[in-house]
Amino acid sequence: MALTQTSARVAGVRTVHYADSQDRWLPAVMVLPFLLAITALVIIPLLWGIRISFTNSRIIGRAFTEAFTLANYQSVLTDPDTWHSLYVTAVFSLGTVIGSIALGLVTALVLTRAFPGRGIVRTLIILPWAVPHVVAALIWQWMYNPNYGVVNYAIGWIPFVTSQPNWLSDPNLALPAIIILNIWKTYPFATLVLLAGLQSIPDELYEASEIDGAGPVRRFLDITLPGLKHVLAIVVLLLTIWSFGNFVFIFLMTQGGPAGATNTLVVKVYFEAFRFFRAGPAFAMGSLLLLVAVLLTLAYAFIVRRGKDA
Amino acid sequence: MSTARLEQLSKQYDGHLAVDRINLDIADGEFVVFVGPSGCGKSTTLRMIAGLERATGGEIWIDGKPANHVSPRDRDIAMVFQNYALYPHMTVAQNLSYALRLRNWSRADIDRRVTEVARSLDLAPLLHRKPSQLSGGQRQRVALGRAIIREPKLFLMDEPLSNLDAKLRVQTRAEITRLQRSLGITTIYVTHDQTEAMTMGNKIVVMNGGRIQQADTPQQLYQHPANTFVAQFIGTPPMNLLRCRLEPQDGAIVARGAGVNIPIRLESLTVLRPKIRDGEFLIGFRPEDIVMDPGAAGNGVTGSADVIEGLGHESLVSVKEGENAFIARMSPENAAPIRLGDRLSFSVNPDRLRFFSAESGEAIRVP
Ligand SMILES: Nc1ncnc2c1ncn2[C@@H]1O[C@H](COP(=O)(O)OP(=O)(O)OP(=O)(O)O)[C@@H](O)[C@H]1O
Ligand SMILES: [Mg+2]
Repeated sequence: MALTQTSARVAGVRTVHYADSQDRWLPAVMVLPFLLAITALVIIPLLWGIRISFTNSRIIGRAFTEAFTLANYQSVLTDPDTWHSLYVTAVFSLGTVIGSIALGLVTALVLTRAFPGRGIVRTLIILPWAVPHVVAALIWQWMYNPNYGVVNYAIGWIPFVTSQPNWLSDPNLALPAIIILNIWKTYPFATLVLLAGLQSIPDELYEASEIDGAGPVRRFLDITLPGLKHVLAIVVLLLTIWSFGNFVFIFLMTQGGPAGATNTLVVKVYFEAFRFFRAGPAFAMGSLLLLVAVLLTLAYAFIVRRGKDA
Repeated sequence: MSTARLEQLSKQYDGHLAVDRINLDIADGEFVVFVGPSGCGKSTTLRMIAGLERATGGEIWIDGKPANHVSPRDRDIAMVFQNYALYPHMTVAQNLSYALRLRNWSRADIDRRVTEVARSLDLAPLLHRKPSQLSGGQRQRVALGRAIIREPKLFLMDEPLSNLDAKLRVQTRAEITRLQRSLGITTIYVTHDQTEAMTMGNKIVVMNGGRIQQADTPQQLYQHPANTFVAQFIGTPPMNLLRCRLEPQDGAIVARGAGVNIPIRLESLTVLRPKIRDGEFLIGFRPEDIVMDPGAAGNGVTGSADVIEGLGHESLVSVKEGENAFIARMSPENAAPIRLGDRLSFSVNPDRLRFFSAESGEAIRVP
């Protein structure tokens, strides 16, 4: 009697276990095609590229027959141009992050207040985000045109200002001009995420702090900012990742010029590989960029996960 | 040390009157409880006193000074919210000291005061935790501490116990009452739980439909409800109300209706008679004010047993007769032999009879 009971229980356990493992494998099987595609189209080329970065090959196909060398990394890291590009990339990313978040936060704060037409404004504000990068670049190229662009037309209205700057050809103005374009393109995203963050802060916290004696500035510093800390971290990281990897705007507007003023790392990698055909250094720099991107992504994943626990 | 006064206070939300011309005087040190069903305007009234909501009519006076246009931060009040509204990114100590820091107290004074309050509320071991690391009861105490730390003119509390379980609620109820009595701070407390109201308040304000139905001591409210709403809202089970008319019987006047046959005193009649125009009125008594009495037939209330609820220490017997129904409170021993459908008679304590107009529901006070 006891024996049959035990064996029945074992059988029961086994059945449950079987069903359980089947349940566990099903999702894995369903993402398999996706994993295969990623492996074939992303991971293998990446590994291939990393491998090339350690050879003297000029031709991509022969990577695995070449000898191992660190020469590419040496030349990339000792090239002052690389460090200049890193500087340009940092300014571009930092400028975008600061500008986009500042503009996004102000817009989000305005949009939390009730005013006539708020619904329409909320919808219209997404437009720059929805416009494709190429279209945005063309629009702004035209707006920045020194002779018939709307930017210089607007400047003409400012009293006592007579200069008509050549935005994209002036080494001092080209980078700020593209940063402004990138801010314009990304601030709707910042606005939407910060708006959601603002709405998740309970009204009662503002009321409690008001009763405790806090004025508008203290309420912003003590309730709004801490309440947005987590979303802000996410927005900063995503904007950094995107700015860091932005290729289209610079390639279409200035091609890294004038005089390297907008030559960010990704643009430099592109020109190294496809204009000067220096595969080794290009792949070496690309591998370093990949490393930075992976670190940023890990930081992003970490912050998102921590927010979930909190 | 503070008083408050509401004069014709009203709040209109687009087309909907949430609070309707209420008048109330709150004395120094008083514990006033607003009670009423959901949506009756309790929170709105409290928030107008706090300054979080703008009154659309009437006046608020705090300490004899008009407060309508004073901002919440300048009213010197403290409020405990239903969901506590603790600052999530601050520790318990920082939550407690926030108001003091905003008032530029010195570090030493703040530390001393935080320690004092933490000790009185048993929060000392929790000072370095964040609100997310506290239990509901602990959060509640922090919210309370944040309110008492700066000894405000007025304490306002909006259902501060509704998120606690039943046992903790009873415990915290006593705690708040003790705290209020020892600090002597004028307190306005909102709840929809009448037990909370009856046990905590010196003065209870019963609201319904945006209007004050009655503002009185718990005893007066229970013994002399101003209308049928209060009679039925206060007390579990509520006051019994039975429909009847005055009729002559054996040279006296009795109140007679389905299951009702109660002699009315002469001095009561002189007041009652002119007030009931169409002859119908409601007679009221509490479930504990009647006694089962088989000899009372034709001189009390009668009917058949409908529902019997045993609560352990007492039993509630619902009795029905035609359009009238009432509940009797009795000992379990007396209720034991009763079966559903049994005919029961009760005599009524004549001192505890209450009368209400059948039309308006207003109480008719008789000698
Ligand atoms: N912001 C608002 N806009 C429109 N109507 C409101 C608003 N706030 C409250 N009301 C209405 O005012 C009335 C009173 O609301 P109030 O919150 O004061 O009720 P309450 O007595 O506190 O109820 P409860 O016990 O459910 O908290 C309700 O009918 C409610 O629907
Ligand atoms: Mg309420």
